[in-house]
Amino acid sequence: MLKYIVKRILIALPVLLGITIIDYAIMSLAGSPLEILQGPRFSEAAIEAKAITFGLDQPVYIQYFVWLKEMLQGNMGYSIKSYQPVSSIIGSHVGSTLLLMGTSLIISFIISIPAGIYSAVHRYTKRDYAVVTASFLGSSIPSFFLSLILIYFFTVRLGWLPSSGMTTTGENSNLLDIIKHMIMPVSVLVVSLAGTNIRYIRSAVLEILQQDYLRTARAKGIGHFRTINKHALRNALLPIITVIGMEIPMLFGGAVIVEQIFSWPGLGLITMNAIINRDYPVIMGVCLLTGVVVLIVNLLTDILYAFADPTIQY
Amino acid sequence: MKPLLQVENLEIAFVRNKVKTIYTDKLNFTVNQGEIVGVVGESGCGKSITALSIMGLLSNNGSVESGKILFDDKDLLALSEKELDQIRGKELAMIFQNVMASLNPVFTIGNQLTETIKIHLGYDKKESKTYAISLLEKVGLSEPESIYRKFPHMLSGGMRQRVMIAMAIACHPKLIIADEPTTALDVTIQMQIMKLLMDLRKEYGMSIILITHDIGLIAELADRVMVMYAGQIVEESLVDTLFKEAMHPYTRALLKSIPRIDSDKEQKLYSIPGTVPENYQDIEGCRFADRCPYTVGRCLEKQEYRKIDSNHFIRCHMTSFKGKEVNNVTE
Amino acid sequence: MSLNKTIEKLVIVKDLKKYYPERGKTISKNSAVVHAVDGVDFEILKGETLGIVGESGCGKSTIGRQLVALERPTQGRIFFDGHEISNMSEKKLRNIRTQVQMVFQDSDTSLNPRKPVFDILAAPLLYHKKVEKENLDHEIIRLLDLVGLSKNSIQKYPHEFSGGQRQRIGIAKALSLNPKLIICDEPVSALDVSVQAQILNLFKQLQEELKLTYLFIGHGLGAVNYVSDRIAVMYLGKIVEIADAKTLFEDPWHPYTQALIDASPIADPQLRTRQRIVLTGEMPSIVTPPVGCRFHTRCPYAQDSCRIKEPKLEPVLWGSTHLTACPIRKGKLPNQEIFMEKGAAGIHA
Repeated sequence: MLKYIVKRILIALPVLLGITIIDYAIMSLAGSPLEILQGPRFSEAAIEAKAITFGLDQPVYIQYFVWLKEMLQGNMGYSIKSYQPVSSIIGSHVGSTLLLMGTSLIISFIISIPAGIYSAVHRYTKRDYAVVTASFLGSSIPSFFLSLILIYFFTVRLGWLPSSGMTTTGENSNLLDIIKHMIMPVSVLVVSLAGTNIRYIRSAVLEILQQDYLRTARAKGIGHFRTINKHALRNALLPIITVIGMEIPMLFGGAVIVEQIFSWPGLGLITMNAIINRDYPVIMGVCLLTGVVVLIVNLLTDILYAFADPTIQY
Repeated sequence: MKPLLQVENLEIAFVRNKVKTIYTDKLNFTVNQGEIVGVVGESGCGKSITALSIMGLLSNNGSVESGKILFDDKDLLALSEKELDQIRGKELAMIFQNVMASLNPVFTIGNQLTETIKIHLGYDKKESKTYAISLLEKVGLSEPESIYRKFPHMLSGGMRQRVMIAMAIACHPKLIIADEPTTALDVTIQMQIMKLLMDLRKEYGMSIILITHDIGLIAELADRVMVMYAGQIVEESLVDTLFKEAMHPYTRALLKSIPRIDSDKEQKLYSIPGTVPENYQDIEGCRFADRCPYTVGRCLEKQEYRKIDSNHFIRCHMTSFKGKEVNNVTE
Repeated sequence: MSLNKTIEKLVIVKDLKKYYPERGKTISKNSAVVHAVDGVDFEILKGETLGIVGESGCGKSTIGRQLVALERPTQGRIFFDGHEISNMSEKKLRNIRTQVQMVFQDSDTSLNPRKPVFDILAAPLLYHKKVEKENLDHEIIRLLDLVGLSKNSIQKYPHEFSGGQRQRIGIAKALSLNPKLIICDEPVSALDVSVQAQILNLFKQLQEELKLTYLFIGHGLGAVNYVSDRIAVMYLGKIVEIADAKTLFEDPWHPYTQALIDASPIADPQLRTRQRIVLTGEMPSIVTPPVGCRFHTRCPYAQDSCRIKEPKLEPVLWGSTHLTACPIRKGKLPNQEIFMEKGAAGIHA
């Protein structure tokens, strides 16, 4: 197992490098950040100066190597727009995204895992149809649409919930205040996540229910309850781990639209802004972070598989 | 002596594409204590679903439309799931065909074996383990302690089937239903498994229903035989009678179409023309009539299950084949 | 049944070896090697049927795949009709391929479920330009007729047929290129008994009509006996015995052959109590086969010499075409009663 982990880490490094090259290439296709700085407020000289400061007068591949060199020394660079260090920009926003996405993911799993299993076990009953319809709606409603509807009802009409930011300005931030700000964005995210997850889990469990070993279990007279809850569910662990593994990377970058609409000060928000402003260092910082997270989570998921599935051996 | 299992007028139906079709035609048969009954027939004849309905394991779209299954005087069809669970795995056990998929891949052999023991016999953890290991040894597995800790995928097909047999005999059942238990196994392993079943039968005295398409296996093991075709039992007799004096044309055809090691190769193998009719439940008369070499007008009427002697029954009105020409050979 | 056997050898196989790397579960282990076929020699005469029997892991299917050039041997030479095909370039092989065809076991998975029968049969004909487009219809109907299928089959899809009928389609496909040699890889193992008989008869009939040569791979001794002139018995990657079908069953020399025969159920209850060899133990691993004779771990006659030296396939008597790889039985040790000994037991003792 240890050798497998080492091998995976060794492979991850060139993959990460490749990710950064591709990301940089795609990013630079959008154009230089200097083009944003057009207009009467910016003199030619100022633009020139900026270009030299950030090395933007160099060809793209040189820029990439410069970035890479700095990165390997631990320097993530500075935002072209705000001149702040990228690491602190990311650092100050990561927490809120984690909070938002973490809460949403956990709640969505609490809902989708039991619902998916229940739905599969009671296949083709009215209850199953209800769950499936609900999940279909959930995964189909565009998040911005749902967000706006919620804001309309709960902020504009009823005035119960705040619609922007993480805390109310001026007041000391306390937990209750944050929670009030979280309710709507989390709801939107949960609806969408649970919608997708329920269907995935349901279909995975359905497949398990067809297996011969469940028939053997029934033939032994151990009863319907034990057959499902012991024999079937233990096998459902694998697809559930898969789903969780796929979605954890979303913890870091997943809520771009929702963060925009609710002005939630998270990574999604700054990434959006960075892309609009073609703020190369910030974009690359976020890309790198996401890449590392995905690779680590994939490795952890695979390791978890080995514990959940005895037929897998590394 | 009263029979151990008495199946009366068993009618099994399945729903396919929203249409309910009857697959077996009011089956009647018995199994006595200590005997091995072979059920032979080709795919689709209904032998497997009959076994599953005895165990109450028909899949969701299958149902028993009518009939009784009396096991030890209790009608299994009238029992609740809970009551059935007390009999299944304890007095009535089944071993399945696709042994590779019949054991849960995520639990150890020991876990799956002691499950039955704990539930039905009430042993505690330690006793169950000891008993389980002794069972594994009894079914011929060497290093039973090591097997106890292993997962199914670490065992070969033959070893897995032995584990299944261990699970089946754990609670000293009165009847074991073996549904094609060795079809997926190599022939030398098949021989070992069959010998094991026979030895266990001798020791435990249980009855066995052996379901197979291999008529040779029936000859080796069964006391009595039932031949099934298109959802009906077409012949039933003691095993010696079946191979010497089978009376139903389907049985005779089946026996003639088996290629044997000692057969004369110059002689063409007899092959039954045609295939099993698709919607056989709609046929009024004999379901084999369109493929039978002896068909006459009377075959289109409903065929009665006729007694030839105390142990021999057929579903055919023919009384003799003498003088009839089949394939240019006079019988 | 071909009565005029020419001495012409259609296939010659010399010291054929095929190894596969074992799927390494841990990277620390150097990938172990599966010795699927480990040094096999045989010939197939033109017009005859050579049967190969053996249990799982013996390598019989692997041999089939080498002969039809689906894979290349790891070592050894294969000659077809005088040409060495084991090292032939793919380009030159293309012509040979039309002469060697294969019929597979599982018609469910070997026919494209998304294509109608017409397309399935037309594809090889068009690819090898065997037939003009105008004559395609005619040729396909002819092929279907040859295997006993009506011309209404052409627009149907494989799933609309029964197992036996699908197997006929597979045979028609194999015949379409007028091959000289057909490798039949367990073609009847998945079929019901009554359908088996139909297909076996069809194989024999076609052989006579079209002057075909067969390599018939199977595990049912009765079926293989029915179609084969000679039979080879394989165990763990090697041939342990090869003889005329009749001789093999009447006078088997290798203990494994005897065990195989004994293990095959006989449709006669009177013979239940016959004495026979019941092998103990499991098939050894093909990654690390036993040293010496591969069968010695399960052989009721094993002696010390068997554990050391791997016996060669040799004639049972000088000049005989019946070859066996068991010197013990060949020597017919005195005072050793045949079919008695450890592990031998009647089923109904």
